[in-house]
Amino acid sequence: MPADSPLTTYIAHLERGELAYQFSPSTGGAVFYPRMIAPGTGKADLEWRVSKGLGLVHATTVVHPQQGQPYNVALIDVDEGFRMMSRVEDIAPTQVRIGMRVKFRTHKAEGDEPPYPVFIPVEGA
Amino acid sequence: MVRGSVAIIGAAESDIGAVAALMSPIDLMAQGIQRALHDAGLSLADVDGVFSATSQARTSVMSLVEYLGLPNAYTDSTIVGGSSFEIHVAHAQAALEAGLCSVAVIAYGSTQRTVGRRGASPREYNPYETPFRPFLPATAYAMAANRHMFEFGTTREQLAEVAVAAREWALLNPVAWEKKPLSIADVLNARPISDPLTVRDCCLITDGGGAIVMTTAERARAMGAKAVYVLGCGQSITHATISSMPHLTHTGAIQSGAQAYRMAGCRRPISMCWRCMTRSPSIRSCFWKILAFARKAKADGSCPAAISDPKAGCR
Repeated sequence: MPADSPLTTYIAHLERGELAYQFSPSTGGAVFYPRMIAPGTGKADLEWRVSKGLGLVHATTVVHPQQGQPYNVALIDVDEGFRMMSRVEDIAPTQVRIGMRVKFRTHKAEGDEPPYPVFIPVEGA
Repeated sequence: MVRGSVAIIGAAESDIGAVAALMSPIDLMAQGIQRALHDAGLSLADVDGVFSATSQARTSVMSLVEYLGLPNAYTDSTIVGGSSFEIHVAHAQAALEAGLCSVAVIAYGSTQRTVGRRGASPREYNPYETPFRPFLPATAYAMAANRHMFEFGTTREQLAEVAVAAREWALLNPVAWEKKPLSIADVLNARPISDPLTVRDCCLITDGGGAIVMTTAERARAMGAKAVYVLGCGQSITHATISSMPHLTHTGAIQSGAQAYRMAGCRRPISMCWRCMTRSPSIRSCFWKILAFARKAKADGSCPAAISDPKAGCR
């Protein structure tokens, strides 16, 4: 049996409403994006884990396309110790701030596009 | 590698700005090579090492040696973005020291203005970034700028000073694309691209190319060539995607600069880097370099852009 691709496993978690990442005992840290072997050590020891889905905005921008509405792009530091690109929804893109507490939700699959993770502000944070 | 073992003995630009219709990136490389060899007092028959990169040809060095008719040349087409050519210099130095070639040309060509941004460098699909539609590379720099403003209190006006200083340099260059001064207000009021950056913070999209010629220090001296010796090289690739950049306000230039100065046997890399690196009229690369060195600039209480201002006497 050939190995599943890391992306296939990641998307399968998203389809269940889960934000998955990997943990490497050999590096002692979270690994993201998902890989076949751990960066640095090269060990094939990566264990899949499911994040609690909470994090902080590390950096944010508003992209102004030539056509269409401006939208947010952000880097999120997820509590389990990894960083990912995403966007913050449910508020105006200009209102997203560094340090904002956010939580994950799944942007559902549309047509050929698989589901992907987005974030929304944590109420009262 | 050894400090000063090789030298750059020729350099030239191809046609730049908006080139003639139907010119290809390889045409521009060849034009740059011909001019650079003329500058060096050599001919194509002397060349036995060919190095090239462009976003418009997947196997540019194959195309280039075919075009030049140099089937036995030592070749390398490492592509690591804008610093590909500095790395080519290092790789050419290694090849020259090892005797794998004796005269190397390093070439670039792009018709990105003619064919458009998407035609020149289509983005690769990245399942962990592409769904969020970052406008790359501007969005990556924008998020680094956002962090820089947050961590150091850098203002939007200070960021704009980088573009203004780059324009000041451009006005000294008769073949520069833009001919008029740029003000901070012009930058701030320009069309927004990816906040906080506007179109005036970003690189111009122009056609262009060029080449340099390298040989051993021994041969350069024997030729009596005007030579620029390679004193030190360094390389650090911290990330390919912005979400994997270890620290958004610390670039790999900190490590690569230290390596280069170690090889050169120099101290005080920061101030010397400023002098050599901020000569580039490329706004984006200036900005990136400022990110690498702004901690130092801030510690000095000096504005980064003031250091790169041609009128400040730092040429």
